[in-house]
Amino acid sequence: MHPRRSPKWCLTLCLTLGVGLSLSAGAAQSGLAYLGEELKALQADPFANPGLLWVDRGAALWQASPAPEVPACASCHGAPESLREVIPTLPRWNAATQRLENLEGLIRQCQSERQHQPPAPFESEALLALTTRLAHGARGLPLSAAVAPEAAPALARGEAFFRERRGQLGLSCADCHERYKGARLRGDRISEGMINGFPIYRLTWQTLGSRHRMFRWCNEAVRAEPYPFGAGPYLELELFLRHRGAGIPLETPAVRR
Amino acid sequence: MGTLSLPVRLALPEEAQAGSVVSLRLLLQHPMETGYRIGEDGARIPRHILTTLRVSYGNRMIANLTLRPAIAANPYLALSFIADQTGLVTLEVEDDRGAKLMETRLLTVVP
Repeated sequence: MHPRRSPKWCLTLCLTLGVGLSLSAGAAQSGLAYLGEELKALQADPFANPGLLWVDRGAALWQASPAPEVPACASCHGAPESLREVIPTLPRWNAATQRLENLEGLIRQCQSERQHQPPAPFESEALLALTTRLAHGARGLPLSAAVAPEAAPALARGEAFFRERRGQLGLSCADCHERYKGARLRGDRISEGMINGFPIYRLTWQTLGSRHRMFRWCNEAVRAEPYPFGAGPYLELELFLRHRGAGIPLETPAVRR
Repeated sequence: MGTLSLPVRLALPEEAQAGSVVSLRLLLQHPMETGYRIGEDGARIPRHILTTLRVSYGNRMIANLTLRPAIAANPYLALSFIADQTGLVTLEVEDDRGAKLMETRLLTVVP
């Protein structure tokens, strides 16, 4: 063997062994399974999980009318839990617009069409808080596998995005989150890239972030040009990831590295 | 600048046995921006931190903290004290931009 090749072989061997020892193959697992004990405890703490600050704020926004004579979210929907069955099915196909819609998109659509307000900007505190409150109401429900027949091409494109190598590093989502799941990457363990905990409180960000922020972050990490928030390719990827993680319970707000 | 609110989660038992140790837990939403970071536009991000935390119990000050930049965003703080009298527990927090928080809870001490 060429001497320069051996470190790479060693690395591959170590990674493979590491994966085999630490996690059982097969069933998809939440990113929770890849956390250390401290972060597992922080996420489970009903007081100290920092994401709960946004849950509180979202609950207040849900009740508040954004302007005089304008209905609050609660005026039409009642409690946020009334939408809990919908959350695990998002993103989903909207037959009227012939497009995919996710939770952020639905909230912003409601804000502009029902409340006649400018929709909250992506990653604004208000949108994160509402998204978090709604998803928090659905925690424990499994991500749905249901995909409308019309959305089948979008699902296929989402999977293609997941498996396509991109960026200067030439890595696909699948390279890290399937092939090397459970392996060490710098100080962290690579998770399966599941989306059941979003919006997540990420220590790296010191704040909460949406699924699309994470996609953008990952794209930048492999030095690829990220897409804008709410962009078609990200909605398709989100659909694929929801389908791929079907059965994993929602755990918003999750705490992650 | 007017008084801004500081989102907080506060946990304190309503009732405690005389002589027992009570813990006050706090989770504050705050960026705790150190003032040393450079933003995407190349400019320094101005400092924005919590500066003061005071807790009084009855008519005694039981904690008076000066907070510094080396604290993570959305800080979690906990302190414990001995419950010896029924009284108000008052929490005051200030940041360097004039935001203030004042919360009062009644702690009932039973023999």
